[in-house]
Amino acid sequence: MTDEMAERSEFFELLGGLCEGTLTDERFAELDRMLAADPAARQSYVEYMLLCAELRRYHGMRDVSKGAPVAIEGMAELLPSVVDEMQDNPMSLGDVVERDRAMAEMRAAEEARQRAEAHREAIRRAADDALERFKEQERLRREELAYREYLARRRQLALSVFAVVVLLVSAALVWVSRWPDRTTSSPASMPAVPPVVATIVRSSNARWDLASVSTAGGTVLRASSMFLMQGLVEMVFEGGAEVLVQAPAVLRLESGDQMFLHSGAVSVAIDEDSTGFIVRTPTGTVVDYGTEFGVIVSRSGETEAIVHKGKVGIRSGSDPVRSGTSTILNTGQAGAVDGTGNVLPRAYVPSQIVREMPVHPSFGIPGRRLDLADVIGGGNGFGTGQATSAICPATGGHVRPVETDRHGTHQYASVHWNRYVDGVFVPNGIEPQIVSSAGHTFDECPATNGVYYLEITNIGDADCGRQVLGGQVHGSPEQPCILMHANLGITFDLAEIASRNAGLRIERFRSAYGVSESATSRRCNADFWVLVDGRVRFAQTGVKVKGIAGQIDVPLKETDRFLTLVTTDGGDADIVGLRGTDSDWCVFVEPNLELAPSADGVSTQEIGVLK
Amino acid sequence: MSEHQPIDGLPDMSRAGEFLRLYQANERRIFGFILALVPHWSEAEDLLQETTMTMWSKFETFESGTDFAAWAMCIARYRVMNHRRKKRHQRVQFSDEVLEAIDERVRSTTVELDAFRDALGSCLRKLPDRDRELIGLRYECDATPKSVAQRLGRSVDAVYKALNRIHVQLFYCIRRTLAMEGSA
Repeated sequence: MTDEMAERSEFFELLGGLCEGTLTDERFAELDRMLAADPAARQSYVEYMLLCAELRRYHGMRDVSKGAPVAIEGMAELLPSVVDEMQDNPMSLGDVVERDRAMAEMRAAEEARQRAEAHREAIRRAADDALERFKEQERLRREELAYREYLARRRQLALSVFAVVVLLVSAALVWVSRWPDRTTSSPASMPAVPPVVATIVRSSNARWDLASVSTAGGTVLRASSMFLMQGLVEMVFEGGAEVLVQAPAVLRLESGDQMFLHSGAVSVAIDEDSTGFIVRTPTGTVVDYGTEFGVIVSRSGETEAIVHKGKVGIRSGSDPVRSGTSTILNTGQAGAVDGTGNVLPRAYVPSQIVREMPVHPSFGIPGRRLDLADVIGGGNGFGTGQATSAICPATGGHVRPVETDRHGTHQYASVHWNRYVDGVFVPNGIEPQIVSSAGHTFDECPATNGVYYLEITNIGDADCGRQVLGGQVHGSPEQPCILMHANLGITFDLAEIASRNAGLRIERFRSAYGVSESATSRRCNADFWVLVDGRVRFAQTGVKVKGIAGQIDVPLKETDRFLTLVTTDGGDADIVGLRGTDSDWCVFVEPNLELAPSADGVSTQEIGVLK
Repeated sequence: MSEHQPIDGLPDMSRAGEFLRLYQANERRIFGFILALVPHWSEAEDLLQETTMTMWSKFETFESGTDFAAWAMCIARYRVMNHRRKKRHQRVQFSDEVLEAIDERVRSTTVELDAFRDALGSCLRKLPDRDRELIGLRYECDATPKSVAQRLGRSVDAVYKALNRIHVQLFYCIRRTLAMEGSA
């Protein structure tokens, strides 16, 4: 036997022992060394093991789909839910596949059941929604039907009255014609008398354009077109709606539960028993569903509805029956119909309309005098603003005033929350001072120390002390004043104010001004400026005496866009312990815009033909 | 969802038939691979079962048309390596170098299993009846050399030697047969 043969015999003995499981660790290590050293041995090893495997198969013939038991460890990844069960009952691969198939079918069936349930739920919700929509539409339909029936009854009544009048006139003519001695006269035509649709409850500084129409409480108002030039009129409609009309307002009273608002603002309050009041406008229709709300029609024709309480519907188009684009507004919401008929959401700003007749007449009178101090308080200029509220000159935010020295920048800050205020600033006179969103500049602005002590404030109570000028105390709804301690600027948007007061023009800006006596006994030195579109229209520099009131009267044209009020520190330098702005308690007392009928304003004759 | 779409946590049942077909066609090669790496019958069978279950649970990742045997051997190798880590303190194992070499050899072997089996059948028929009977008894289910020895009234050692001799004869016979077929 050669060495090679002996080695081969040895190798096969090792392989045989390996297959029978009788190899010792030492012999196994010997086999490992052989395999590591000789590739041919590895090939022989692979073939030998394959031979053993095939002999086992050849004689055993295992059925892989039935015979091979499945290890639990592998099953854990596959079907964790049945692992426990299988530990006691090993399954074949075929069993597992079948089990999986059954499980998949069960899962699929469960998912199908869940989808069917979800589908049924969706159908039920859709049905509920449809029912709610149907109820709402049915309610609207009934309201509109009731309104139409009312109009029909009214027409029927008018026809009956007319027929009776015709009969009476005919009878009178016959009687006159058969009475030869009686002096004959031509029969006067009997004008149709419009029905009474509302009664005035009370008014404040009110004046219609027709002097013949009273504004006194108890005055009955017939269906007709009207122009409230000034003040406030509260009326109650036959249908129960209480309507507060704010001048300037062009309106037509159409029936006991409907009016047409051509321009202006009205506040409507209706109890729950008398729903269905309708305010038509040139661009939209606002239908009340038992609530308190306001409607504003601007000069551009935009209709804005503000819901204080309850719910209203707002639609494009002025036909109260035919529905255009619409939406429902709830408490605290506002919406508008623009000039193109789009219904848009708007921020809810309740202070832009007078909601209740004031107990004491405010300084601002709708249609005649707009209070700029009230505007700073967030109001519409007619007493709806907040007292002792202010605008931060650095940010434009609505704040409570705070007394402390702060450095401002000359940056022009927009005031987004206040429709009538364009922007604010702290002038320093060093850099070009922008005074409007259109880029107007205050070229004459003097140099200041850039420090402000207090925000631009609507003085309303004692928080900041009442301001004394000319021996008079100011800072109340009846005697408003703007406190603008030195180095502050504010610009009002005249165009926006005019837009919200259709039919009127802003005639002039009037105000008293001065440094209040209510400050300390230290000396003051301040400047007052009034600019229109960046041009100085009034200036008083070097005011060094407190308590002396001067007067400002700046005429305005309809083309003027921005009105700017500025106070500066008189050029005083800061000294140790004392700012240059010290004691510069500048005030504008009873600052107002005077309103007058516009030359192209809408007349009653014009609105009389409006449909 | 159609009934054949996979459900979370379960293999795609619509591919069960495909899996069984591929598995049956490659099971011998897979088992041979495992047995070459872990030359212990019971452990190799356990590993085959684990490998089979892993293959089934991962079958959705197998791309139809690609080499199923290669994919299966990757999974089997992972299971074998895991098994070696568990058993490293219990028994002597092939060294890592040898294991890598065997792995490479098995994967690259060109032996056609069907031809191998045919050759095995042919060689078995050439064996003397006594040897063929001995092989048959040895590879019956649950048989051991000891049980075969008891059944034949021979010593266990004699059975071992006889079985080893027959294995070697079959080994060379198959080689020759396959070589002749390859040159034919």
